[in-house]
Amino acid sequence: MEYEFTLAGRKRTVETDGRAPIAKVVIDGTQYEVDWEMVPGGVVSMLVGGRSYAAHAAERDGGFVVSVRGRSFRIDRSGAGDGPSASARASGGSGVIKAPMPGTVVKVLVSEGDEVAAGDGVVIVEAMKMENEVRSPIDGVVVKVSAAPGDSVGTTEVLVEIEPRGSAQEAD
Amino acid sequence: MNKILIANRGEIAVRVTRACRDMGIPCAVVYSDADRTSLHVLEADEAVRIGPAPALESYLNIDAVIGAARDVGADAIHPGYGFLAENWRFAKRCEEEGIAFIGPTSEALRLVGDKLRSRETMLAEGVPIIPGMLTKGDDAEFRAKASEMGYPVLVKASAGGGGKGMRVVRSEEELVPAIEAGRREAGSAFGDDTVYIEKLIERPRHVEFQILADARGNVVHLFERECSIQRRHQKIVEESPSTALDPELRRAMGETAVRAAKAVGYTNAGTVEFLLDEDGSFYFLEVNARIQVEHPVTEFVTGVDLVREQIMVAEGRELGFGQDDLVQRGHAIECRIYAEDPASGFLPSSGKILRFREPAGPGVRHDCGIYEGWEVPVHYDPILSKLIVHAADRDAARGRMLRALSELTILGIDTTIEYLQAVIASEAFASGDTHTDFVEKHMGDWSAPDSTEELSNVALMAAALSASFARPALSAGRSERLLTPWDTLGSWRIGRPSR
Repeated sequence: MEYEFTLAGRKRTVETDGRAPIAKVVIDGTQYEVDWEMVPGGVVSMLVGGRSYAAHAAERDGGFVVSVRGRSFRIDRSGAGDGPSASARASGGSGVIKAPMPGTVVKVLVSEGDEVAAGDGVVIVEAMKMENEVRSPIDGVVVKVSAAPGDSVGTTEVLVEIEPRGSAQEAD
Repeated sequence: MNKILIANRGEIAVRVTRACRDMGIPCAVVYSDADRTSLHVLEADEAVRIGPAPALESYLNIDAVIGAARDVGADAIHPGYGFLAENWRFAKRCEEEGIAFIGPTSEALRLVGDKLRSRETMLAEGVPIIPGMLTKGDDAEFRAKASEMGYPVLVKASAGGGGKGMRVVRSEEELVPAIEAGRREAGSAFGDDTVYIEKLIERPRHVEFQILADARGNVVHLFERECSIQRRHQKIVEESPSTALDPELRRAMGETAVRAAKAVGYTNAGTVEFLLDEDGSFYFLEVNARIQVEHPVTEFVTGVDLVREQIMVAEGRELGFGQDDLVQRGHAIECRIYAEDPASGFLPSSGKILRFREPAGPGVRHDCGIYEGWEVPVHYDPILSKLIVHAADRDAARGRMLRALSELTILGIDTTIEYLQAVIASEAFASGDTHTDFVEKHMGDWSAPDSTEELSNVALMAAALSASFARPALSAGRSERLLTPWDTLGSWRIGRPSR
């Protein structure tokens, strides 16, 4: 099987025959012989060149989270429905602002028609007893405010929509 | 005591359950709808539902908690920390109901909980206080006083603790928004939105003294904990001893802590918090009238089981030791493991814990409220567990903490583990340069560390081998396939993978 992974922003190609107990694993053209066992509890025990690694691995959002020797790795599967990160969800990459985590809206800091700059706070969401200011990812004009104080919001609800400055100017 | 109701959740409820079992005292816990499968319920002998997920309707609901105590026939309540732990009305209600509140009297609680009044009391007793203390006021009064004291000033919640409702204000235009935010946060966290302001001391250390007081007037201190490393004014690393104290300063601060406790008629376990200035002068901050999150640090260096002592004091017993019987042995460090993403401003993270492994070995203690497969609820403080180590000296303790942190595995949610590794490994921590600006000054540019090629490759191998091992019937996008007995057997493999 060949897998296209993304690790720390780098695309990596990993191919393995999955053979037991010794698998061939080719990472970006370099081949390794891996003595491996699946151990109960989601641990992949691997002996590579006499070195022992016990990696905890679990599927998450179509990719994997792996922890080995105290270090954690987020491995996304390219083209396999990569889950967006919390910050990407929060900004949406556009002017559609969603809650970064489930919580309760405590204050809306902007009104429709307001001009905002990237980094300006737009809504305060309380989660886990902390107030978190949700900021605008872009410069623009607030075109819609959907959040109201007291609303319970998940990570899919749109709080505020902001039209990028460029397009707002064109509209003018 | 016949039975103790533990009116809390998470790791501290598990901790108190263990103390009760150590002493052979039956105990029961309470839970909200969000905590039906939480560890403290699983670990309990008895568990009582007290309401829906929001804390105001469950863990902060005095009637519900008292009702639970009645239901299980408890004659004592341990409040843990947070929630009702420092609520004098709750303590008073317990007193009226004939239930022993495992903590100070409602009267002492009321006095120390009112930070304005407690400071006046301390001032009268000659306990040093931070300059510029203020009474409560309206926005205009706050503005006038703040200009008079000079910025920066600190907005704090009168009923608060743990940094909730606290804001640093560096200029006049920031003042009113900070007061508003502080009031909102304090109101929702404590049900009391009173805030006050005080002069901010730049580059202080946060040093606190553990005290124990019985009902017969005996008060001892169990030395200090340095808790300077904080984010959002909430501690993340604590240690004892502090590198900033010499024996003379330790004695002076300890004696002041005991004096402060006596001034307010304090009983049971408590903590007197001080700000320590760089010139060695120290100022009383507040009394934390509860068992502290970081109490295991003191338990390691003194060998005293603080929760056990709390229960014995509440039973009316005399302390079994005096000040001269107590010594600090070795060095202890605690790291708080939070469900937060340090790379995005410590944003709380929730979700399912997919993999979990606890550290072990000599000098390691893990006070934990989670387990593999559990879904971290969004309703409460995001603390997952506390990792505490003890060793002969500070360098050995640092090495042991790094080792234990590398053993601790929590997959599925963002945690502070790698961040804490960086804190403990840092030059600044090694040299004891631990002031309350530590995070800002030394960790400001932290990002998840680049890994070695070796470990990255190993992680990729693990992902690929796990993927090849996953049974096709369970893989995404491969539904509609009939399961055969072979598919449902679990981890079977003969020679080659099933796909």
